[in-house]
Amino acid sequence: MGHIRSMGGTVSGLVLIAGLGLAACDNGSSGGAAPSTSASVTPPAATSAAAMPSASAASSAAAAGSAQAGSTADDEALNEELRDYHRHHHHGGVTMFISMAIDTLGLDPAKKAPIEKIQSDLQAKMVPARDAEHDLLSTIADGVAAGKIDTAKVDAAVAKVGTASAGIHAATTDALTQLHDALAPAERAALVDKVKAHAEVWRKVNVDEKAASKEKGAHLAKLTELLSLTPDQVDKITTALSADMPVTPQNDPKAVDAYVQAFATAFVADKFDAKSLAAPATASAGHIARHGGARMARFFEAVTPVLTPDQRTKLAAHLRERLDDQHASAAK
Amino acid sequence: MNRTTMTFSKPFVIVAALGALAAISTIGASAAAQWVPPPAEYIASTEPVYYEGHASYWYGNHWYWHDEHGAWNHYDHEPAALAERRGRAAPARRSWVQHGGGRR
Repeated sequence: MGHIRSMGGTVSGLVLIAGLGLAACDNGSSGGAAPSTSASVTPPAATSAAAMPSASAASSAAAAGSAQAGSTADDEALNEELRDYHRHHHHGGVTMFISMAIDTLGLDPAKKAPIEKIQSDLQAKMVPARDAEHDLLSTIADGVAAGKIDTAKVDAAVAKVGTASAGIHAATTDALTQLHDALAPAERAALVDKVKAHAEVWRKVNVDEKAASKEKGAHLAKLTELLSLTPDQVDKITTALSADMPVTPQNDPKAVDAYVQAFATAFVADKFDAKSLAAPATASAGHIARHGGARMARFFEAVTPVLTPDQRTKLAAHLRERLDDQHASAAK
Repeated sequence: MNRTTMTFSKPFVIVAALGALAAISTIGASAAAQWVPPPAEYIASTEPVYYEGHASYWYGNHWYWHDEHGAWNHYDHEPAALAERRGRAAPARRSWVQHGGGRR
């Protein structure tokens, strides 16, 4: 296969050279085109060269007889769980993404203990925000169970998560600096990749995804599956969610992108001063909490009136289960 | 080659050249399609293996890593150390979601 691909590229390149060369010969006035024709002939060789290693690597992998890592049903289920996690948890801001990134850094056993100690410190500093998020989720779950969400109470809870989250960075600068100093350059780069990945997933499900989207994997589609919503219920929810939440300076997620980029640049450097990132970190944490919390609340406020009592009971239980998710529960 | 022949053959060679270009594009796309780097969900939840100063991820039968400019790269041929590592254990993935009776 690899040989066929590379030969195909070569043959195509030769035909292209011959074809464009003949065409150029026929037009004396387009002599200036000759160099560009020559230049355009180069890519086929490059394409051919690029095709060759890909095919040989594929052959090698096929010879190894391994499954397509990352694309199995289990993998997609894990991807979906992460998206669902970020739909429901917004306290902690990027510091939460950093803490989650530590979980999958793949460190040597000897290094794990000191890093986990730093992680515990980070989590301890996030307790006020985590508790505020518990109140928010509990308020929403209670409202779902009762058939009517107390919007004033929910709005106050969202604001509380925002305030508590905005205070996290100032409390964690020492721990972040310790984390930087304890990691090797490759581990710092890996942590940054993971923080960016968490931020991307958070953004995907809380900003990019339309609240009323019925597409596979979207929040409403997941809820349809969980509660066996009827088409009529889905239509009513879609209508209720169809007006997008207005973007305001208080919930514009650009602040998150700005801080993630600033953190990424600073953290891979040899010297790291977390205090220098205070302004974007504080703004970002507030944005994640307010935007994510408000969007989540709005979603369940639209859904609740449409549900049957049994569906409400099931959804309330599902939301209370989110209180036990890792990094969101009192136990680690 | 007289002028008549040239006039007649010009469209042919251009069509042939365009056809060849299209074929190359297809081949390029097909080759590129084989190199789909891991999605954010995978990077966020999977433990990497450190090799040659990079965190490498085994995904879709290839090892991927980010270079210092943020671009994804892959190994054309699987390095022996990574193959050996992969033979010992599959990539460890993590979920943070609580599942009623227990955690994954």
